[in-house]
Order: sequence, then structure tokens, then C-alpha cells
Amino acid sequence: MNQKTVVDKIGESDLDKRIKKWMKSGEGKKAIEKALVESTGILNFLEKERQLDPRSLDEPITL
Amino acid sequence: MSQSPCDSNGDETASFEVFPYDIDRLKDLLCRKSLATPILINRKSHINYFKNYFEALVAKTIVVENEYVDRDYLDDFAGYYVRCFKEYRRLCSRLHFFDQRIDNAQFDEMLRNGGNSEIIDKLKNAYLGFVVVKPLPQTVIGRTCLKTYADDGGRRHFPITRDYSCNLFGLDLSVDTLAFQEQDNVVAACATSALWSIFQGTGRQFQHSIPSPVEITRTAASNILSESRAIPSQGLTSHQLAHAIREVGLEPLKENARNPLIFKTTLYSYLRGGIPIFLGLDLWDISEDGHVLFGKHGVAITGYSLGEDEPSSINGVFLKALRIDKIYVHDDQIGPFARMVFDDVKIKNPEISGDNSEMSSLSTSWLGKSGREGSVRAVPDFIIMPLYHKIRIPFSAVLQRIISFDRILNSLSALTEGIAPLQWDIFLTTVSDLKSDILTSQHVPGEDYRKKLLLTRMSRFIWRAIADHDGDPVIEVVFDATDIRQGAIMICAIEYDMVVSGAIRTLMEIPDFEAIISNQLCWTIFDWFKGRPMPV
Repeated sequence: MNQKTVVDKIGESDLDKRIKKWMKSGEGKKAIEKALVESTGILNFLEKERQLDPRSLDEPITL
Repeated sequence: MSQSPCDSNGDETASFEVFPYDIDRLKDLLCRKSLATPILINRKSHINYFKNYFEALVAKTIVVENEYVDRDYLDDFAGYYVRCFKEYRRLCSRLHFFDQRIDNAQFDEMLRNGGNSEIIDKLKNAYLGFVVVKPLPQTVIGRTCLKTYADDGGRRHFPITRDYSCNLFGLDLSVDTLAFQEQDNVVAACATSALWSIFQGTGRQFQHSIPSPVEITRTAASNILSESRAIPSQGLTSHQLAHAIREVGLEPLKENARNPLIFKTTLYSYLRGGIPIFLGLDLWDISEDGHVLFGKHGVAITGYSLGEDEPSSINGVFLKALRIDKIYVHDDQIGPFARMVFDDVKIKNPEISGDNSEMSSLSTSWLGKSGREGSVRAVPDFIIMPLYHKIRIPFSAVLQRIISFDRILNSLSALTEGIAPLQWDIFLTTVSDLKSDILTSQHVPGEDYRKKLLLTRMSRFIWRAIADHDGDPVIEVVFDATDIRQGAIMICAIEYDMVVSGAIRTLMEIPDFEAIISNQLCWTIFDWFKGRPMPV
């Protein structure tokens, strides 16, 4: 989507107003806090899955 | 067709031989140019692999270069075979493959007429690469440089190939590939062969000398306590692999590969940046009802295929890397660019109970007890990336920031379309490649902005995280791969879509927003936009 299409479609100032209203109403704050909880969940999951199996350190690769 | 005798009297007819290609001819040559028996050659997995591979490359002619001195074999010979009581030969043979038909008379004419011969261009254009045949009793496939599969409309990617040139009696030939060789079970086991292929790629990229298999095995075993002798090699541990990588001046980075999400995203991010990857895996024989562990194996990951499926996500965070449906590996027991498919088959580990007993696996070309193709599955265990010492920021640190950034942008989708969902393409690269892309990109909004980006100073190694929406780039975050982890890491954003850029700037004007995210990983990305004018 290029700049011209964006301005034609909704206009920058319109979105600007919507974001400010959204944050002011508290709805935005809730949505962002929810997004942060989601991202923390994903990061914790990835961190757990990234843990190396200590057995893989010492076993020779023989085939 | 001419079939010169294979003797070594030093006369002209013994220096080369020319044959039409077929798999039986190849088997015969592998047998005659080594000490292997026909039964043994027929049993090798490589034969079936070469049959399919040369069919795909449409090979039509083999030119045999007898009496070839191969540097890697010569090192192995000097390091071990020369001291055997039995006399092994020092010289190898090299088989060259072409996708055009030529015969002995034409090749002979080329040698006689030199530059006046039309056949020179024909041979250069038709070159598919070569296989060195080692004069050993079992493990006969030496340095092998063969053209890769075609890219199949942009689906297959081989980012770490390089130019290999060779001179065949004065004829300059070249092939774009990555060298492969079979382990010899003496100076090299599978891990050594995989590392040797990996160093072929990193040696060119980071300018280090490329050790031979015997040097890799000796280095890996030095300074690491082991109850067993280094040579004949019994295989390497991951500690020894890491040590061998350090000895060529690179830094090993090891990551878990058991989870396909982590495996795919990590391998893509480094491989796309030209870093070949060592993959340690468990092979499981599923020929019979119970799944049986076959053993531990090591291969070099040399390419990947991106499927056409709908983009996959990690809990809503869409990543291009998750579209990987196959990887291509240099598997010394199979061949170069051997395919392994993510086909979602689970392996049940009988030693583990509960949900953890099921492990994701990939298909292989190994044959199990049943002798059926597909009867041996690979369960990835770990990957090791050999990195230039200045590449300090790992992919995981970049991914963490992008996940956090993506989730917040995603929350704005309630207000407007065009912001989410985004698909992220995250990979390591160099400033040169980034700037070349910017110079020719159709998506950079404005001439002054392009110039500004091109003049921005950046580190040599960078991480690019490009977000697109419906195929169009929206925003890109550029990270300094050479920074320290507690640093800001981010270099700049490249703004393609002014809706997203405007929305981020608006959020940064709201004190409540700053208060919520100022202690989050994505803070440095948002903060970069604060007070910065929109691109023009």
C-alpha cells in the first residue's frame, strides 16, 4: 500500500484521531496490555523450547 | 563412443576417457577407479541418489580425468594412509559431467585444435560439475562439486553456494555449488564431513583457510579429553565440533532444533545470510511397529524450499521462515543437496512416557531394516552456526523484539485495515546487501528518503526484519548484529507505508502509551520514531 492509497482511503488525520480517542477511552490501554501479555506468553514458550538438552553435549555423532 | 583402457602407463589414451552418461557407467567407473567391489558400490545409498540427481540435471556425458591430485585427499593420505603397510595410491580420478553429448573424437579435437575448436564453448555451457573418486576400498566418493537443482520458480534457495573453478587439460570450467564428500570412516566421520562442507562456505565468506578432513578431526580432538583415539575417527561430540569451529577463527552458536518453529526460523535467518549450518539429528528406523533409534548423525544444511501454503504463525505472529517445507543437506551417506521434508510425521520415543514421547521428524533418503525408502526418519536435535566473531546479536534477541512490536501493531487492527496481520521476514545480512536493495527497491517512498537511507552509516553485519501486508512491505526494522545485548541494538527503521508510520508516531505522542511499554523489549523500536519527521 503506497502513501497515496493510504491518504485516499482513510486520511492520516482520521486515524490519528481514532488512535487518540481509543487510548483516551481506556480501550486502547487494555488492548495494548493484552498484546503485551500475549507477547510475554510467546516469549516464555520460545525460551522454554530453546533450552538445550544436556545429553546432546557429550554424545558422539557417529553415523 | 570411445572406451580407452584404464591403465596408468602415462600415454595419452590413459589420461582421459569419454563415455555417454548412464548410472551403470557411473557405477562401473566408481568401481574401476577405486578399490571397491561392484557389490559394495551397488549397496551404497549414493548410487540411488546420483541416479535421481543426474536424471534431474539431464547428464549426458562423463569425461574421466585420470591421475588427478586432490588436495583434500592428499592431506588425508599424508596424514594417515601413507603410513599403512598396504600401499594405497596417492592419486585420484575425477569424473566430469556434462549435459551435452560429446564423444572421444570431439574431445580429442578440442585438445588438438585448442582455441579454434567450437567444442570449448559447448563444454563450458554444458558443465554440471565433478566427482573425485578416491582410490580406497569402501568410501570412494571424494570432493564432489555438482550444480544445484534449478530454483523451480523461486521455491528452492541455496544461499551458500560459491564458484568452484577447475581446469580440465587447459579447459577452464566452473560450477556454482558447495563441495561435498563422503566420510572415509578413518580420518573423518559424518560430523567431520559436514563441517568440511560448512567450512567451504564460511572460508570464502569470512576469509579463513579451509582445513582438510584429517585436520578437522585432529583439531576437534585436541584439547578435549577423550577416552578414545581421534583417528580412526569414532565421531565427534558437539563440544569437539565447537572446538573445530573456533580453530578456524569463527564462533560457534548452538541452538535447540527439536521444536520445528525454532528450528525453521533460526535456520532460515542465518542460512539466508549465507551462513551454512551444522545439524545434529537422531535417525529413527520406523520399518517395524516400534520405532528404533538408529543413531546420531550430522549433516550440513545448505538450502531450503519455501512452500506455497498459507503463512504460518507463532500464536498470531506470522513469519516467512515458517513456510519452509523442505531443507537440503549435504548428507555424507546420501549425497549433496539431499532433500529432507517437514511432513509432520511424529516419532514415538519408547524411553519417554507422556506427551513428550512424540517428536517431530523429517523424511530422509536413508534405508531402514525394511530396505524401504522413507523407513528412516530424522529428529533434529541441535544446530550450530559458525559465525564471524563480530556477529554477536543472535536471532533470538531480534525475534523477541519483533514479537513484542508485532503484537502491539496487531492491537491497532481494530482501528484500521492495512496494519495487520503482518508477515515478518527476518534474516542476517550485510550493509552492502541492504544498500544494494535500497538502491533498486521500488518500494522506497521518495528520492530524498532513498538518498538519506543510502547515506546512513551502519555496521557491517545487520539483521533485517521486514514486515509485509498482503505482499507489500510496510515497515522494516534494521538491527546492529555487532552490538552488545544490553545495547539498543536497533539502527533504524525503513518506512514503506505511511499509515503504519503515522500510527506509531501518534502512539508515541500519548504519555499513557509510553508508560505502558517503556520497559518492554520493543521500546527501542517505538522510541526511534519519537520526534522523528515522516519520510519525504
